[in-house]
Amino acid sequence: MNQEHDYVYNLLPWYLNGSLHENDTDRVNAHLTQCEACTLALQEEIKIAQQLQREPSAMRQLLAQKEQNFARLKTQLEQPRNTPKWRVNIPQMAALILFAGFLGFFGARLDNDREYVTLSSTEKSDAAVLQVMFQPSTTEGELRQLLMDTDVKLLNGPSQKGVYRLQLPEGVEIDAYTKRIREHPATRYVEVELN
Amino acid sequence: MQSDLELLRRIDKGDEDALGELYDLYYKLLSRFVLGNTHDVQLTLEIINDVFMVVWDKAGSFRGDSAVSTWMLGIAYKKSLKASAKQRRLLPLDAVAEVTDDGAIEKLIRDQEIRKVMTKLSPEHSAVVELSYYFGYSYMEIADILACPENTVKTRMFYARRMLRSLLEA
Repeated sequence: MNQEHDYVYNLLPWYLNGSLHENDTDRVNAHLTQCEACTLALQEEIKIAQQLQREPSAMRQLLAQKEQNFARLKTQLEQPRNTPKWRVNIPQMAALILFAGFLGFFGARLDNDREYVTLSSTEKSDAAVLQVMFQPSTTEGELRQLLMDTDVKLLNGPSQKGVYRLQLPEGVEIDAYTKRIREHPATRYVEVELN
Repeated sequence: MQSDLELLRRIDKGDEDALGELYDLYYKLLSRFVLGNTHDVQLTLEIINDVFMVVWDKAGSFRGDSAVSTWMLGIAYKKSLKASAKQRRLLPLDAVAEVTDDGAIEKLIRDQEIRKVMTKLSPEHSAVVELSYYFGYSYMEIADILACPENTVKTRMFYARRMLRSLLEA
């Protein structure tokens, strides 16, 4: 009985919005005839649902700004079709990147080069990892913006040679995603890390 | 009126008018959903456009496994989570669940306290509540939108209801 009660109680929100399958609806109906607690819970939820049906006052503001917001979107779209919408204009600071090691980097094995200073929490993952060097003028803020825009996670970096390890989101096509990051103006060198 | 899929096909070819039509169709729905998660008008406006930027970039890769609205709500949900985490404006669950006492539910509901209470739920919980009570989605559809198992939806709803009751009675 308790099991049936829990089962039905958990379904009440969807019983209320009418989205349950027929057999579950029948089951809830049957239980409600004999369970006062569920009947009361349902009554409370009806009231809550009625309140939630009302539009929040902020919706008026949002609806009033629809055209203006779409105009902003169109401005964003003026960038080339297949380029990501990153707006990293790489002007000033090179403090994070040790560009001096860049030339020496190509001949070196990165596997021997893992004494990183962590910018964010370090996590290991089976997902694809890129080794990336950024343009010397990239700021920390721009780097963080890039990470946020692309859903790429910073594992660690920079190494002594200025290399960051970035983990791609799960489920993306590695080659296409790598190409996308390689084409980004903030990046100078991008390679998929071999296991 | 063209179907959503037809609009996506046009968007994939770079048709901004089609994007405008899709914007007209889903602006209100996305506004309501994102606002329910972020409780911030400016952030909501930004997230809506972020969603449409994704639509613009990925219209051609939409496989049609779900409704276009489901797909867009899923994108909006992820963007909302990310933005909310960044802004750190929402209370952690533990900070919310402890309010108890006095059943003044009728009075508070009359005063439309529900909106204030909703701001105290985490984005994960308020999304489930809004998608169920306002949008009328089934728990299976919500699982699809939030990209989580159906049981997770039920569990989140269970805790959200408990928190709502607790907060409304406070």
